[in-house]
Amino acid sequence: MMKTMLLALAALLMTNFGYAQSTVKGKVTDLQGNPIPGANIYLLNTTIGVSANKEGEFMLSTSEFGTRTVVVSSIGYETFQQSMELAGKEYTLDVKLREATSELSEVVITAGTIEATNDRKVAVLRPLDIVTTAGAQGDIIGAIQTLPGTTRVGEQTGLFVRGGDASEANVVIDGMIVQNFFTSDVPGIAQRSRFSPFQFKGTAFSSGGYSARFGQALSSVLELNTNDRPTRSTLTAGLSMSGLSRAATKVFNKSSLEITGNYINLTPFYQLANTNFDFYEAPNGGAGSLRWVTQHGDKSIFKLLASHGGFGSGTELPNINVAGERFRFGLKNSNTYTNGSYLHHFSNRTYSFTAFSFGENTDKLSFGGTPSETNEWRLQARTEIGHDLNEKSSLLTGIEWQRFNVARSFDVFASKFDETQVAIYSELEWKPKKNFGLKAGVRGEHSQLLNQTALGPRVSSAIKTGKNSQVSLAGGLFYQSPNNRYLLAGKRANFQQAAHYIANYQWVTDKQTFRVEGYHKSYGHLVRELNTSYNPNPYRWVTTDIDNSGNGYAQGVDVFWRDRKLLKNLDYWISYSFVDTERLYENFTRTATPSFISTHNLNVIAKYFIEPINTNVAATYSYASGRPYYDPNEAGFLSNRAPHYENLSISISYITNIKEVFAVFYAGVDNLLDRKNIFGYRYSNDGTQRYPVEPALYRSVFVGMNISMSAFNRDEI
Amino acid sequence: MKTTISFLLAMFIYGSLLAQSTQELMYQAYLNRSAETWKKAVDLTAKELTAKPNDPTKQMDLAYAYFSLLNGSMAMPNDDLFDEYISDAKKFLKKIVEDKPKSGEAAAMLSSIYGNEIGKSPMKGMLLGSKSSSLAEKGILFEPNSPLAWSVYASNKYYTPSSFGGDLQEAIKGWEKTIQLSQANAGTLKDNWLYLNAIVFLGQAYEKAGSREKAIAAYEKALVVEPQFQYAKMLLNKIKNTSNEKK
Repeated sequence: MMKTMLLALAALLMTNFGYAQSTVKGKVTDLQGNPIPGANIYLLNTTIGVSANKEGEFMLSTSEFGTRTVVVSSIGYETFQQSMELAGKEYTLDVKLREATSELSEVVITAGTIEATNDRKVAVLRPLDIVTTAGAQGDIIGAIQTLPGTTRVGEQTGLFVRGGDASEANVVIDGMIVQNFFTSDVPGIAQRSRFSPFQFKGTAFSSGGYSARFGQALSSVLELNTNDRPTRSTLTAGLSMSGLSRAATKVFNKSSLEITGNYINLTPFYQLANTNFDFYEAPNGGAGSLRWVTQHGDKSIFKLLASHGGFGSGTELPNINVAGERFRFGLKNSNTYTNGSYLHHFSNRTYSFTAFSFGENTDKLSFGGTPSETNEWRLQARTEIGHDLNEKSSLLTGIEWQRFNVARSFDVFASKFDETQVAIYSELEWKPKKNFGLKAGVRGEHSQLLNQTALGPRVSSAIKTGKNSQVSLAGGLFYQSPNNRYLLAGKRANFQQAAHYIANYQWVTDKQTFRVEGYHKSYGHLVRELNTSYNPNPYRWVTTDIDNSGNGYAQGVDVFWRDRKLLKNLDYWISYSFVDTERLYENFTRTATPSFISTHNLNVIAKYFIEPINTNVAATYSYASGRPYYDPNEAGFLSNRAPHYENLSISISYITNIKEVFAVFYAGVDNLLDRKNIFGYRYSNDGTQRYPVEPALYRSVFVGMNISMSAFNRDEI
Repeated sequence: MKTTISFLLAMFIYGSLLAQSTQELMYQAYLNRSAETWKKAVDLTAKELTAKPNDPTKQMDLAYAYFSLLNGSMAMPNDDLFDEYISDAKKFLKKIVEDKPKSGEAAAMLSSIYGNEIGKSPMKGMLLGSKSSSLAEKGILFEPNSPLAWSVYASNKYYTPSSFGGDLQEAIKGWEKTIQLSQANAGTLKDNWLYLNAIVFLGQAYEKAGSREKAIAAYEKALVVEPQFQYAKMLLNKIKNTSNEKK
């Protein structure tokens, strides 16, 4: 009896159990009936699921009961859903999946920024584009100046962005500000950058509304990221009209070491061209660098770069105050730069980035025999943590510290200042939907020298308006200390500030990019010299008091079009910028458009690769409307306009490889039509003498070659 | 006479066994990342071609073996293996492309070889980039039903910088197509490294595009197809360990 009861109970339990357990069996195939291995079958909103086997068959058992939705999905196919009444039985579900079509990609916030990198999707230009752009002469800045928002100022060094002067743009390498990015200034000649475009894997050029990670720039930030670990040992050698260069890369197990050395002597280059400046000593010098990278997969990367170089030049310049008199300007420079950074991923959600840098630069000048020396150094460190809060939002928080010191002497006069700046920043990125993203940040910065703290909010957002198009908006408040000129003279004022408002529309397909961006920038608290008269000399010594009563605005439209579809192997882009700006600052006597502004800027770049002969031909045409200049004899202030600027450059490069030796031969002609451009005019102090401000060169020719060997015996170095 | 026939018959059977085994050898080489096995597979295929130098099938077999080995050497990565075969492979494939101008698969395989070269030294992108891309496009144009052509097209779109025509979404589409087309011919799924490779690359492309769930599904699928696939296991562990949000 007992036994029977137990059995009955067991049977009852079993049926109960059996009743609760539903089994769904079936086969997943495509529309033609071919099995789909590895398809996923699961119940919606539960963790219950299985994968189909190699034959596409599956069996899903569950104690779930009632109406449930069965989902069948497989990569490359549209997801199938069906609701089923589960009542503890065995069910058969054969599913045919339809092939999926491609879907919408995610939104990327782009207002203000043009990126040139190898690994992001929004790339508009990439490193190789820089060296193949005619007229850029292999200089990063030369290529950046073909992008919208920039103005080419042929006689002044630096980057001029959207109505801002050169001091308003910062260059950042691996997160660290580089204070002497350009080679030292010679009056009237725009200088190249010290760095080679091949050192960088990516360039993000922000023409406004940049990230809270950076500060102390009223206009823009050019962000450069150095290469990751190379995968092959190589030897390269370059020979050009400007000198010789050698580089060797040795790859170890997880690390790599690169050594470069170059010797620069522009004598052959200037010998061939007619220069508007007399060089009694053509620019010459040398530099060397060491770079070490250790990379552990995608988990961490450590980079260390150290470079040192020096060069000198001697120019004979007219003394604008004494007709017919000339004086000699001599320059001896020495520069050291060190940058180390460490990126570590704790997990896919959290990473930290820590970096430091030290830069030191000394310029020994001689103004017609009078010695002058400028020595500056900058030490800085940054550490930040990025964390994905969830699938939709991530947070970046960091701190930045820098100390810099500038000392300048002129004859018997000497002055210097020492500044420490600390900044804390935080940036939240939120993408609630695939087609909408928002980035909000805030940056607090403190200057010890000015004893001032300021808070700058930054916001940007983007919404996708179609498969290939999107609209972005950005804005923010940006601060910058007064120019070194004032700090050196012992003058103190508060931060200057600029508010940016940017709206951007972009349409990007596989082979075409169209961007249009409108902006308004309002400048406040600009430094003004009190009780002064206008003097256009950038080397002038400030004696008057200053305050923050200056102001101004800049507004305009930038348009960019790049097309690689029109013709096979043809790549061209057109960029146009319109800027309307006026300001009252420094020693301006009234509100006016500064002398470095061209209202209209146009660049047309074309590159064509002739495949059968491995030759790349390129041409660049640039136009800039005439810039204001100051004529002391005129009643109007900065009311005169110089003639417009025009330049057509061409270049040709032939690429070949003989076994593992890879060679590029290149030749370029800058200002092919030999146009006599004039940037403006300078007047003697009494207003009686007028001198045109001219480029260093009109038509010039540049020839060179680069050879690299990638597969060689590893013991050869 | 009888002996001769049976000998020939035996040779024939041996020959077809051989054909069977190169496919399998390549699959094993791919799975185990074995340079020796790759070499063996290519050498065997080359030998077969020497016996019948004008057999177009054997020619394509060798082309495929070269293509497979070079991709395998990239995956390992093994520079020495790559260096040993690259020039022979390139010479051979250039000739095949010349002889068979309408073969999409031949064009695709040559495209892939150029792509491998660019992968090894990116500077060559200037020289070979556009060749590689146009050959890859030719591949899917001439043989729109070839998984191989689609797979090469996808890699090309995946690795080419976007300013030169690369496109992550196109790459995803290419590998999805590869998988669909492979599955549409169920008989070809056995010992097919290319199919397996397409699945894990699709997973990585999904990851890059931010589609985590899909990436996981891809790696899981690869493990259903080949439970011993260490690379897929590694990718799956990695993606799962990096987030607590599991479904």
